[in-house]
Amino acid sequence: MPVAKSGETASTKMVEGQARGTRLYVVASILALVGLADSIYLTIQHLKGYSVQCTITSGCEEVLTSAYASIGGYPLAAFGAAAYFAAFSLSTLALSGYAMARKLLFYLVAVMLLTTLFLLYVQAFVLGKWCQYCLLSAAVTFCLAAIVAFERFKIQRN
Amino acid sequence: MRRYLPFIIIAAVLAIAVASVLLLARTPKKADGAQFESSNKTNAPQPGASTKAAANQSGASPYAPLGSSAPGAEPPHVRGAMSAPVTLEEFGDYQCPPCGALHRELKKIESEYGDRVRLIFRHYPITERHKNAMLAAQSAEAAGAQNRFWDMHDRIYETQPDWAETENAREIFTKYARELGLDVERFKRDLDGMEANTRINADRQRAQVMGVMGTPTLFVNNRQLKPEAMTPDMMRKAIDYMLTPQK
Repeated sequence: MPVAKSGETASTKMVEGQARGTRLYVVASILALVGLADSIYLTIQHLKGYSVQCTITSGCEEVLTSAYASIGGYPLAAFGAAAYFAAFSLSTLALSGYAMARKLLFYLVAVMLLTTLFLLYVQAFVLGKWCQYCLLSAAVTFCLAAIVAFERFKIQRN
Repeated sequence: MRRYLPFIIIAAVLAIAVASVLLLARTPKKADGAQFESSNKTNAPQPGASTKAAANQSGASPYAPLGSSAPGAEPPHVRGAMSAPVTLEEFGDYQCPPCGALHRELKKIESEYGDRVRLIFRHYPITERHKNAMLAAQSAEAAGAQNRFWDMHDRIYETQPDWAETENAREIFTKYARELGLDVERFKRDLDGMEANTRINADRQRAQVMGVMGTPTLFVNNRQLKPEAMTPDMMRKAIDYMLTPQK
């Protein structure tokens, strides 16, 4: 009986762990959608030539019209949108049990995190201005990084 | 079916994302007048039987009120031929980065179109966001009092990053006045004088009457260009539309 109990406990823990992992990828998918919407908004504003105004911070216009806001004439936000879409796709596939998707998501989010850190540095020390839409994107990336790091750590521990 | 569900969800999100960018970022393709706002608060001239009609309506004299009860600062700052059939009227804030970009493009347009376009500049400094915008406008007006408005205007726009966030913008603008060969003492007096503020406020009143919501805003023969049409290509199409005789 104790053995059976122990087996039941281990199995229950495993199921709970899988459920938590599943829930985290659901959260990752939702976060990626938030980042995607934010990036699409900025891409559209850039393509239409609109001046984006901040409502919380005060430097959207300066940040989004700076030399760092585009690469080769293409808005940086469009690259962000592509990254968030990829993150959404990989989270959704990871949710369905694709092990390779989990691995790719980890590397993708690592690149996104490094890019975000660089862009935060640019806002803080080069431009001296903060753009709230960029900060939202950074917050989303940090949360995604926390999730994939937690998942990675959990897999390695198991 | 359940096996394909994630791929269906991913494809749906991709379709929505692509469709939203294509639909919302769409700009008019042809020079068919779609570049203009459909309703302006002005008595905007519609393209008439000929470009002459548009020219007449836009005012044979550069000092004529351009179709509104608030004429703005009189006389306005005008650059270009008085007989030009197309009048571009810019409402700008010297510290706004998109205004700086528009300035560079308008210089090219003025050079390309020659006597066919003239430019009127109106002040619309957004002082809540741009701490040096008002001082820049006053500096341009102070130079204008010595008939050097456009030289100072160009200088201020072209050096925007140098003074936009500095605490000593006044010294920088005074240096520009000196370099332009202005009477610096008079420039300093005019900078703080009533005349500059009166002209700037008159331009602001005109902006409000004409429904200007932000900067830069450009009117082509009194018709406001849509924000999405403020691209180099679309601005030229709008000018070409005004230059094309209408039947």
